[in-house]
Amino acid sequence: MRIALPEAALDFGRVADDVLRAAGGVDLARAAESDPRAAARAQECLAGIGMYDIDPRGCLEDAVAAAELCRVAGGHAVPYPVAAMLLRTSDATPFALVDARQPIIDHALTAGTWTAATLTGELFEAEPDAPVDSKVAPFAMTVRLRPVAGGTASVLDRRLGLLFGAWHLLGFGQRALQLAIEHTRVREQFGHPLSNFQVIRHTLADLSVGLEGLDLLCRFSLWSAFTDGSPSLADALSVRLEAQRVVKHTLRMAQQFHGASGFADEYDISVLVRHAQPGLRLPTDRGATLALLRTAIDEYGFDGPFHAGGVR
Amino acid sequence: MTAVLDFTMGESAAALRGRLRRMVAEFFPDDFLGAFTDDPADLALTQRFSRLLADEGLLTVAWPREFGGSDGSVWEQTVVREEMWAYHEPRGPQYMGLNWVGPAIMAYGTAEQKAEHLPRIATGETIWCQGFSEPGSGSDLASLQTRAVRTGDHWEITGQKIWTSYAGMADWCVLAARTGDKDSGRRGISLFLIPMDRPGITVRPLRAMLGPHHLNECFFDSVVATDAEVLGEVGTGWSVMKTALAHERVGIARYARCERLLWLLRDVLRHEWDDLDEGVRNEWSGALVQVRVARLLAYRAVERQEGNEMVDLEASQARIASTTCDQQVAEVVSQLLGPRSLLGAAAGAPAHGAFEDHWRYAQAATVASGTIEIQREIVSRELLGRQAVR
Ligand SMILES: Cc1cc2nc3c(=O)[nH]c(=O)nc-3n(C[C@H](O)[C@H](O)[C@H](O)COP(=O)(O)OP(=O)(O)OC[C@H]3O[C@@H](n4cnc5c(N)ncnc54)[C@H](O)[C@@H]3O)c2cc1C
Repeated sequence: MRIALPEAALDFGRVADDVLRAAGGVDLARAAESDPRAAARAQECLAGIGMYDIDPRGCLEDAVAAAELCRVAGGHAVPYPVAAMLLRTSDATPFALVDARQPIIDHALTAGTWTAATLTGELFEAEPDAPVDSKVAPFAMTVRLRPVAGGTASVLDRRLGLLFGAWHLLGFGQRALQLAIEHTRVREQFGHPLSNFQVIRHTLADLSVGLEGLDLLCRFSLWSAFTDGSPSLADALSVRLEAQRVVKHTLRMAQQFHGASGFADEYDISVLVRHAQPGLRLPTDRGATLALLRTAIDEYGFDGPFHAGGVR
Repeated sequence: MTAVLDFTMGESAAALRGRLRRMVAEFFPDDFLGAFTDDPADLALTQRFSRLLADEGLLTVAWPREFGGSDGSVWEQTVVREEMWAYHEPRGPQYMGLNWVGPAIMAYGTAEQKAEHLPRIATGETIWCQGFSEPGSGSDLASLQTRAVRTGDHWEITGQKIWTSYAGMADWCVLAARTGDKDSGRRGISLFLIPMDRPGITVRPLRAMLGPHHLNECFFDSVVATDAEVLGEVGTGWSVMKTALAHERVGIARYARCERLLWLLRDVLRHEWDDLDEGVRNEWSGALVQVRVARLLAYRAVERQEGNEMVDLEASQARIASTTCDQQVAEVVSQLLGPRSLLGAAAGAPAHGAFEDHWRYAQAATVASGTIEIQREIVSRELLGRQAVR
């Protein structure tokens, strides 16, 4: 059993965090809404720390580094499709999971052509079409899909697409909890810091349980993506489901505990809540994820490595 | 080179799991639902099974050999916990001694106390109970009022305990009493290791939703205790209790029974499964995810405990996840069963009443061993005292 992330991956995460923070942190995301140069700055930072040298499909060690980078990027709402670029199919072709009926890709303008896949493995070339023009998805665009004849996305690609998305959301959630803790310790009402009120303290405690559990599930399923030889997506879907449940709730409560300031963009929580929405909703909302998970469990089970000869 | 990540427990732990399952399957009838039923034969069976486990070195697998253990790994111990809880705790009331009384005596006991108690816990001969809670002191345990008064060369203990599980069958009690003055709070509490047949002790069972033996009242009327029966130093009971409660919080692998029952239910309903409401079947899948999360949080607490790191935060987080998951699973199961979820000891009850039994137990999960609200207090204190989340 080895649950803790290796020191090398943690170090890499810390370096990435420092670099992104120095480049402005959430300010980059704020700026990117009106200035495309912010995305370019984010990309330079990521290139500088070696993002393009990671081969996430190659081995678990690289995949862990890639996942950690997604998590850290989520914590700053970095205005760049980190997971999609880590899984790029050629130098300049990022990879995204889509719903083929309503194909939308976040940060779609990053590339002229994308490789897109559905969770069932259908493969497409995607071209950005039009911005969705929403405050909760400032970089998302509808895309046009062209089927790739005879192509299928590999199980590993689909697993990693789901997993990196979940690690990315984990980063959003962890930062939101941290902001909620900081804010409720400082903001006073009725003569006390908000964190003196038990309903707030207990909610923070529950949020931390959710995030710690999600963190562990992220690690478990990444490990399983490389060790489970079946074509099952159940482990990867389970993480997406948990990320949707936990991070959506964490963002909501963190915003709530900021009061009205939670909706003002000068507060980081407002930017995080908005920029997390595409990741929470694409390619599947929670209901669709759950239904897919049930089908995957029906077909392949959900024992994991914890049972000698099945659960019974 | 160590693996980057690894979620397997090792070959010996996996083999142990298989062995325990075979032992349980051979020893217990299909309708076994634990020691605490109206049929005293169930309790007797668990006592015999505990001796069998002890003979095979499995009762105290992770204890050091000098105290009657097998020097096993914490992961072997985890497997034992999981398999035992999954199959309705076939060690019966023994788990109290194994889980925290033994370890507390190991950590804080005198050489004489270790020699007297540890071998008998390791062989499953003695039943222990925990005399902490009082009518006026539940969550606020440090306010307890049972008094131990110095009289000549011994102590005299007077007061009342309540909710004391297994008190009616226990041979020994870890009794928390106030040795300091009335307002001494945490600093004035001491622990005593008292035989339950000592004059002055009266036990009264309390009828309860959980079935017999779980809840009792204990009255202590000038019960004599010697200095040799104090566990740790006089006045240090609180810190021993805190360690004990941390052990207790990760000691029950609730997720293991949840997972087994979810799959058992699937099996019971196999002919009608596809016709059941899709939303509830989805929830069944979601419940499996919550079970896995609870399992992983428990593993993390175990890993930290192994490294002797402070585990208050991790133990409470694991406890919150496993107790809420217990109740969520109970709810999903009863949704899927419909009216049949009420069939308890009735003939034809699904899984011989295992689901009905689980629902009742799960309701108390967020109260026993410290309520979920108190766990949230512990977690939030740690969180608000720490800047970084990771
Ligand atoms: C099945 C079972 C077995 C048990 N076995 C034993 C045993 O063997 N030995 C033993 O000593 N005890 C035992 N207990 C007792 C158990 O430890 C107590 O029930 C528990 O600590 C709570 O105390 P209480 O019941 O007095 O509830 P109270 O402390 O009165 O709490 C009632 C409610 O108020 C909430 N509350 C209390 N304080 C706060 C606060 N500060 N903030 C927010 N909410 C608060 C609680 O969380 C709870 O929801 C057992 C209990 C059960 C259910």
